[in-house]
Amino acid sequence: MASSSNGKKGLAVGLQYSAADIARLRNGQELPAQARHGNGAVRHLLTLKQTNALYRAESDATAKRVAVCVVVLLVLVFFSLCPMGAAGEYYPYASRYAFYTPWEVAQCLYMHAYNAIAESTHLFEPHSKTWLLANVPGYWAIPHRAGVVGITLVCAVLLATAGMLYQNVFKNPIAGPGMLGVGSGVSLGMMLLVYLNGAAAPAMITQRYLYCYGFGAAILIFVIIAGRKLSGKGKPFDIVTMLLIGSILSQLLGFIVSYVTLFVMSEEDYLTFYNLSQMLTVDTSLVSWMSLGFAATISLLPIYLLRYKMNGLALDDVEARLMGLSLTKLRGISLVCGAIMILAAQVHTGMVGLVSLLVPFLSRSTFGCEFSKQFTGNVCLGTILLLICRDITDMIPFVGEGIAISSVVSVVLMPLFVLVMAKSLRGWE
Amino acid sequence: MKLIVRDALIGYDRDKPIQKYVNFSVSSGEVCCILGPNGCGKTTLVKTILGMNPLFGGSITIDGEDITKWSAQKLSSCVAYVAQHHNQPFPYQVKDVVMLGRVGKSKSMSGKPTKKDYNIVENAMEEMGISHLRDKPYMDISGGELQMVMFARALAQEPRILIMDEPTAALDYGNAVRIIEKVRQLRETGYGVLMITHNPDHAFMTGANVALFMRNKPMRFGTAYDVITRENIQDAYGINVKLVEFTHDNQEIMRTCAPEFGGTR
Repeated sequence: MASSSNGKKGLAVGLQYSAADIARLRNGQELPAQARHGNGAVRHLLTLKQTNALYRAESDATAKRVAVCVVVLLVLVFFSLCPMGAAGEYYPYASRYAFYTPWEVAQCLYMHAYNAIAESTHLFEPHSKTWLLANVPGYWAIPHRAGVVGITLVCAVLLATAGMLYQNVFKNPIAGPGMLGVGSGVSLGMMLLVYLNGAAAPAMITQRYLYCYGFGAAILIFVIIAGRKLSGKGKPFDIVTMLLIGSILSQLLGFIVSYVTLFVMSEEDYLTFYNLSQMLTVDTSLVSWMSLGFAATISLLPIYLLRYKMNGLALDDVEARLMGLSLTKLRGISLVCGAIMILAAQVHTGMVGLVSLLVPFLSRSTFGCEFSKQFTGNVCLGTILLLICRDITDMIPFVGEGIAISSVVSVVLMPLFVLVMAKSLRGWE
Repeated sequence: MKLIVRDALIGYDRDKPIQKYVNFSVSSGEVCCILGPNGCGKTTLVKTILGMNPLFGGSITIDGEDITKWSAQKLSSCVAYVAQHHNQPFPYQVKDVVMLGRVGKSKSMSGKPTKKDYNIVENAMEEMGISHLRDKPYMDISGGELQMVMFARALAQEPRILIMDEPTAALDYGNAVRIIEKVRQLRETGYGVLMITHNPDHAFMTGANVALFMRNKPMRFGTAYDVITRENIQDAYGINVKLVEFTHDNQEIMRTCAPEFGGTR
């Protein structure tokens, strides 16, 4: 078996095979080496060098677009580091409510670097607190803002990639994630936290992540296992069954959450729950970073590692099998990783469905449909858009805590969506 | 390379086979046309060869090895399949569509194409004559060009045998003739082609062997001249044809079927 499987190589594309070679193929004999790689009569066709030149030009174009996006992103990040003054951000040791100019931000960053080097290398003395308070009052605001910006960037990548995955699996340009019911698991966790702990709930950060991630992951595992058990004989991973179970679960849990919050909880608890679930402030504690980092790694890494094979999601089942791609495996990984991404994004920034819908659409029109290029495009465009929305959210002064990012996203992105739709509709004509 | 189907029982259920004792073969440098009326199991047969349906009896071998035991990867290195319908969910570019033929064969986990893969894809497009379409989204090209793209994708897999399910089904006359021209060219290059078709003339045009399936009678296999006769067409399709032979300007002798109208069926 092993010896004959070595020779089962196809005909090299574009080579001219002689009549003798074809007779050999017909008799089941293998072609000699020189026939396989050129017997002198190679037709037309591009050399390796010409092909390389073609594709290098193309990857240059993509690199240019990425470079533009990176520059825009850096400018935005720098701008976002200015504490925005909305929602009364007041930092300890600051003498005023914050709204610093970029020049002051640059000074703060320089001071951070200066002090860090001074403390580690002891070449010169770090500046003291009183000196900083007098001269660089925004010093203590920067790490918090950097944390907010970082979490927003990571969540943007997660949301955009989840949207792209679900659209590719369902071959539907308006599919959105959140179909597997993990969002309702998060609200269930939040509700239980507030119900059991009352007013102390907002301060219990670690427990919040435990409850929310725990319930969300439990829902996902339940949907997967139930989907496997209940699906038909042939397929181990039936998508439609999983979707049905997910949507039934989310309805059920939504009902439970509404019932408990409206009828069983007290008024103050309901307010606490509402504020918590709106995600009005971004939590930048270590627990938050660790859980986000873990969830982002386990969901983004498989997708990145399989990025070229994911193009096969556009194929039919039969075609894909005959090309050596396992569609059930790709679909399963996409859905599960997408669900984890949505879970993480919802716990850290709240459910922003419009980003998952719109950003893949935009990156498809600018970067192309091919999965690896679209992935790059999603990362670039999603981070920029969500960061703009975060800045707007933080700049608008509002009574109480502030507004949730999802409302801002709808207002900001909807005109953009209409513009892109109008342009593409004109393109179809 | 020779694909031999011997005494196969084809169907979805062991008790109700659709076709019994199917015998035919395709080797490199040959074309085999599968003809037959609707619903007599042509697509089921192809799916059985590709491993999607179980084989209930007989054997399907490539060079003596039983391919029902082969993994999909191994089969895809010998055999490439061009489907009948192509759905186009997103506007992928033609070169990315053809690259899909290489991605499944890639050794790395991500399927990242190597320089050689890019070269093979470009050459496949050149061979099919669609290089000028390489950056176009494949939703924007015509039906004939789309079929050429699917051929190029099958060729990019570097198979020995190509299996095509009604390649000319939705195409206009000109495009259909162009596809048949390409099939003749592929045969001359050394590929083996197994083609399901509804037009018996295609078998004459490509100089093919014919596996003619019938609803309630055993199938026939042989050269086109032997199998496509007035009696066999009457048995299979229930219509009368007259076989006309003529000589082209380049001295190639061609036969064609001319249906007779007005008689009883």
